[in-house]
Amino acid sequence: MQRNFFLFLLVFKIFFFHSVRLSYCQQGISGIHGNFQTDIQYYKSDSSIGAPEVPEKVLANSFLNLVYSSGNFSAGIRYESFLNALQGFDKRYQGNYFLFRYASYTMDELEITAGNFYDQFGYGLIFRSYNEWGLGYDNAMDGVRLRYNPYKGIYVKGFVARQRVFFDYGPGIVRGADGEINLNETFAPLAEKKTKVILGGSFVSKYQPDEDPVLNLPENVSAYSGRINLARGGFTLGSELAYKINDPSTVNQLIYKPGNALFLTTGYSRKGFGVTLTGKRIDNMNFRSDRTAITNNLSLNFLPAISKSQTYRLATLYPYATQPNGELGGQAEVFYNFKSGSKLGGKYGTGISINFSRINSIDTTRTNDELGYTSDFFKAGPKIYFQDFNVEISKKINKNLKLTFTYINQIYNIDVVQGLVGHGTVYDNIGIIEMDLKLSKKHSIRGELQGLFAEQDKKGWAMALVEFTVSPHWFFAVFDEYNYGNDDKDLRIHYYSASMGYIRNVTRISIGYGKQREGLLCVGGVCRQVPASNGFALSVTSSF
Amino acid sequence: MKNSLWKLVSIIPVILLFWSCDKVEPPYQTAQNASGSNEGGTINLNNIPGTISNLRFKNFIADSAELKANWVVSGNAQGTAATITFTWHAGNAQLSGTGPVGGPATISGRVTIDGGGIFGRIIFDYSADVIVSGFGTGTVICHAQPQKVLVEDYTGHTCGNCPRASRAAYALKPLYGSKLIIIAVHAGFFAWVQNPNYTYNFQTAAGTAWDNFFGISNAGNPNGMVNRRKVNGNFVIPYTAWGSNAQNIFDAKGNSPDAVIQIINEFDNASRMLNTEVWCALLKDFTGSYKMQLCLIEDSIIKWQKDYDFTPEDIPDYVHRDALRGDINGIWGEEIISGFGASQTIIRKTYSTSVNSEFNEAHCKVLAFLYRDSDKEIVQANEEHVLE
Repeated sequence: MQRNFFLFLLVFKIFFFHSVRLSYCQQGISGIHGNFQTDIQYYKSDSSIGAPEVPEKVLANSFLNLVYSSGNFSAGIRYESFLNALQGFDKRYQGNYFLFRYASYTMDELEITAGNFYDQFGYGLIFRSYNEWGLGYDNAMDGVRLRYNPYKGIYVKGFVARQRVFFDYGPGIVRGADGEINLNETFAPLAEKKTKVILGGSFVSKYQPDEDPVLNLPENVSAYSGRINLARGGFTLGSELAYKINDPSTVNQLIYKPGNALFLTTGYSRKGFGVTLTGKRIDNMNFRSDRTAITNNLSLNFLPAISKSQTYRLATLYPYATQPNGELGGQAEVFYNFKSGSKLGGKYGTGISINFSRINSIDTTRTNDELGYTSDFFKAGPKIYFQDFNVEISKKINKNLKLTFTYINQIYNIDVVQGLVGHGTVYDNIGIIEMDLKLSKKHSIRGELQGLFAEQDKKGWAMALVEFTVSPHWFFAVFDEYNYGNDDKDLRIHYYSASMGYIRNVTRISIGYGKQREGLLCVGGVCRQVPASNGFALSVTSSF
Repeated sequence: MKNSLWKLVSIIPVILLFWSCDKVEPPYQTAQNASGSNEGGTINLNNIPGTISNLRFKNFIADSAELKANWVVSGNAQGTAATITFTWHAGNAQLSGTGPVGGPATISGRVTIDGGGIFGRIIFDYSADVIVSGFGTGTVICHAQPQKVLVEDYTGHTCGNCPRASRAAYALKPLYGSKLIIIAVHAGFFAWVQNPNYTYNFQTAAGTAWDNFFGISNAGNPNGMVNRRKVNGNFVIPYTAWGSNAQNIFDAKGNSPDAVIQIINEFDNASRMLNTEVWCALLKDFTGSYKMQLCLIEDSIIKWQKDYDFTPEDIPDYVHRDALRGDINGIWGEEIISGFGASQTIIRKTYSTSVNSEFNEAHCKVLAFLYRDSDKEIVQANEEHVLE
């Protein structure tokens, strides 16, 4: 460890001593800008769908971001209001606060930020701080961050901060540093080379005092990662390898085993064709600034999901949530455009996309000691957590009509993904037909028919949607989800909904009414439980 | 900014970051020097004859006082008779015994002396052989009841991760002794009866009501509470933080609790009626509404349990520790302080409950805790075996 450290220091210092002072003057937009969103919902209790009584009747989540920029200086503040938080959001989101605020200044190659910030190192395997409003997820950092560009193609950043949890801070102090070098930018002889190479390395350490009266807990837990990104023509390769020292926590059941993660992605694309392969292995990589934190609180890292991000409603019935304690998976995706005029392409062309992903447990052998288990790096465990096969064909029939046909086959382990017992695994097939029809220059109509076929859990579902758009401002939609296959006849319920919206420039207002089934809302493998509800919903977003 | 100086200075935090790394090597547990409980006290008979055993203190303050004894021996043609009178503070108790003609009289029995007021009660078993009358003086040293902490482990028999939490909780026992009270509340999804093996119903009305109110199982199992104290705005405390949260309370209160609770149980085997007397002494002024909650706990119940740390995971003869069997005085207890309670006030309450014939009274305890109704935080707790 000591020899490697000095070697790293030597390489790092070489870059500094050979750096050339660069002008790094950020030309920002002067003035005030920002964005706003409010989501308000009126709830009616509905025992048939399990929608609970909401004493407040109306709940609302809102925020307003304000940013002031002038030359090299910018400052921002965000006002958040939960009065009270919508159903499905943690009840600790309550009240009104100016919690997010920062000031930032750039001089020459150096940018200094004091206050709150979001950032990411590499693919996020050891550090990612971000805000996902729809999930109620915000692990913003609060401290000091420096970003430095000492030379062409070399970027370093570092911070010391605490992490947000609801309207307070977690107990841990987090320190991090990241360095990246774009070889083609830094070294003149490589500038014209077709192969582009970016190397990066990161380090994150969190401190939390050991107050446990029985266990010896590490107070400074560190994680390291190295990454390489290559690109040549249409070919890309990205990879990151991460390691974390022993980090006993609630999520990993207080074991002392170190953690590691490997993320690989490669792809090739050219006009009309693309292929992507992604692989991931995670072993004990839950990393939080509070070792006792659970659910979505105080996560320091982000373990990318490698399942397809679904947008069709029935396809989101069983969304995958990343398992930080261990998973091994891969994804392959191919898309191809049959050219217009070709036999398969027809007059207007046909696109086909095939996606397959599979995630298993990792192989583990219990050791019955504080280390917990051993694991063979290249061996998959016996449990299938998730499998997803998608075929999507989109075809423009004529200048007004476009059809999309989708078939999905899924395997979904409810017990593992949702942390339940006794629900088993769902094997389902989904068929979807989507139609886009342009009625006139300003009017279009979109329809979807979806069917989910399964013999487990709530079994079969059907869904129909019609959306009418009056360009450029208005849209109207109605849809119905019907659980026709439920074993309990009383639960074969229609979840109908109607909505309309108005869009003007950057402002969007939508209002809807209907029943919503319970489910999981996931973004990038991070999920939130959404309870069943019945009532009105109003959403307003804008920016300025 | 001078470029050279910045480059030099910037290296320092990088070095410091690489040094901030604390990989822990075995052993992973600290050596546990059980401090034991300083609860109770000692009685030295000094020049009082005989021996004492099974000593119990139901006191409210630390105290050191005389134990006086006066024994009278008389004889006649039938034999020898003796009576001993113990005096402690304002209370006294008598025992009598007999013996052969010319021989010593054997005095043996349980002595219960109510010292009165803030001194509480002492209870012990006494035995002596006396042949002549006399008197003597001993010493009674009562230790103050320390702050006790209640850990509620919300669990279920199909929760495979829950036994690990239970083991972690009981790993704290050697460190804290009787200062730490642990109960297992079976509630939520994992406590539901499930065929074919998990058909025993541990659930209780009180446990389910508490689980729903505090949202424990909703946050997943295992989880629990430590003195029902909110941490970061949340009642739910993961089991990995039970020890540190308990330690924080001990550090804050230690041997200076705000109240003391004593429990005296009387169980009638024939009728299976349990009569419980609870004393609560206030050691400071109390403002607001405070409630006393009584529950019945049973230890060492052998039933099925899922445990992911074992293969196979389904264990038919798992020893369930300190399971909540039900409330004695209502799901949320009884208000005993309404508005104001002055320091040194002693509140006495009596309760009766029938003990289910399925429960083993030898393993049963009564748990009593005083809590603030506004935020539900527990002020003091105590437990006492049903068979004293």
